Amino acid sequence: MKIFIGIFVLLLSVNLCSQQVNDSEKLLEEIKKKYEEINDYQVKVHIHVDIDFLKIPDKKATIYYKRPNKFRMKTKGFAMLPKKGVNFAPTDFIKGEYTTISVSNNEIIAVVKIIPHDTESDLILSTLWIDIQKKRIIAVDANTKKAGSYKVDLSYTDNPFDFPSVVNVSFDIKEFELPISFTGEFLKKEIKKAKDEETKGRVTLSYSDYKINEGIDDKIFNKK
Amino acid sequence: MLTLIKIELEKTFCHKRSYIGFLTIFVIIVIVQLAMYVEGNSLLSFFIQNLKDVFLFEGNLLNGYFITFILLNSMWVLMPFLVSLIAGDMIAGEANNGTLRMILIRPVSRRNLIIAKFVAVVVYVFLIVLFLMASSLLLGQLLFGAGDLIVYHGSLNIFEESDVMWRFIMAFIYGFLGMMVVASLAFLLSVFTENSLGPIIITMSLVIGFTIISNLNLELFNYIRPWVFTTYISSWSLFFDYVVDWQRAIESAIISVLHIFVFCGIAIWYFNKKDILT
Repeated sequence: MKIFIGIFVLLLSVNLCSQQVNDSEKLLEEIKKKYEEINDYQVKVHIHVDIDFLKIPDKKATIYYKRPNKFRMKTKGFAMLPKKGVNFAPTDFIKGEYTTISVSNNEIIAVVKIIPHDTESDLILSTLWIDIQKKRIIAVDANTKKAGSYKVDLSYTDNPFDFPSVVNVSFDIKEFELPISFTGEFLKKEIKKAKDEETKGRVTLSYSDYKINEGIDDKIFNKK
Repeated sequence: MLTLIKIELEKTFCHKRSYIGFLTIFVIIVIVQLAMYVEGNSLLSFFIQNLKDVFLFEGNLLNGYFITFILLNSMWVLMPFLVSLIAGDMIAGEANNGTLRMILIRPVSRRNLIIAKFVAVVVYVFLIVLFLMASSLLLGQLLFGAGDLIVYHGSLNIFEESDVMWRFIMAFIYGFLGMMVVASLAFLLSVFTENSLGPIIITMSLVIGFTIISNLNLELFNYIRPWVFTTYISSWSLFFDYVVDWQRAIESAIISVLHIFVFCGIAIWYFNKKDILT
């Protein structure tokens, strides 16, 4: 009798897990479907970089994206955009084949771990926090092979296709070293940090004035 | 007095050796700019390689302003030598040629004569620093165009194009003050000797020696550092801090001007009472 109860409980939990996996996959598919109608977009972005050893003024730029993977940022002067966490295709967090593991699932927020099947993929594991009702990703915690880990927090207002308004990207970055003669300082004034020491970096991107599916000429993506 | 200054300026710029400085600066600027034209991108990539792993870049940092900043950093050994070449020869050169006694026979006061010579030094230093600024910026703009400036000074600083020019102007004003301190020292030493080589060598030895003291991060030198003039002649670089330390900049300017007045004052005092035997 006890054996039968044990088998029953086991089957029930497997079924529940399977159900949760199905739910999280279904949720991700619904998010993907939302962005399938997007062929191109352009958006204005305000870039604020906060890194200990780097001082750069806030910059304004325009980002252009065209399916499947054309991207261009245009700005006056110089600007920098983090590679990590700034996914120009809205579904880049959940592309390719993957396995999902639902970590927790209350009525409001779903926490889903994604493991890509592609062994060549730089992404090892990512954790997504998803607003179930509004079907949008509100946070990402990703671990990559080459680029370490990074966190992304997304905030939304009333943008079309539920594009985020503010994206905060946090990451680790190694402080750099320069040959002293290059800087013109023939003798070190301060003892530099160890080469392998990492420091925290944070970039805040504020998006506005989305223009979606209005057509973008391919010439825009050609760099001079 | 104006006539004296005019004569001293004519004498200074009639000498071919006065143009060595301008020619040297120009040749170095051309060579460096051409080298950067060929290899500048790989050098800049090396400069920001850690950032390139993490960021996408848009815009061109290899521009005239960046090249000019590199040139300024590289010229710190050459410029003191070029200015002391002229300043150190001002009195000692005339004594060596035997013309100093002849000049002093004329009805001009020693004080006015030495002041006129010092003014000629000021004009020369101003022109050579201005030449460095103008030629590096103009040639840089011609070859590379303008843009945002990236520098390493304490941190990696990136300045918008609109925020760059005033920094260079202040840097050159402070560079002029710094070179005037060196020129004043060479001028002072020139009063003490009859051979122009001596003031030039002594000035350069002092500049290099004190620069080592100014830059070595040893606790003993922390007490000496505020008192040596070389601590302040590199104050031009303060304007490439992201937030300029104006208090430190003003202090440096005051101390540099004081040095100039003290060196010039001692030179005038000694020249007034010196026996001119050659």
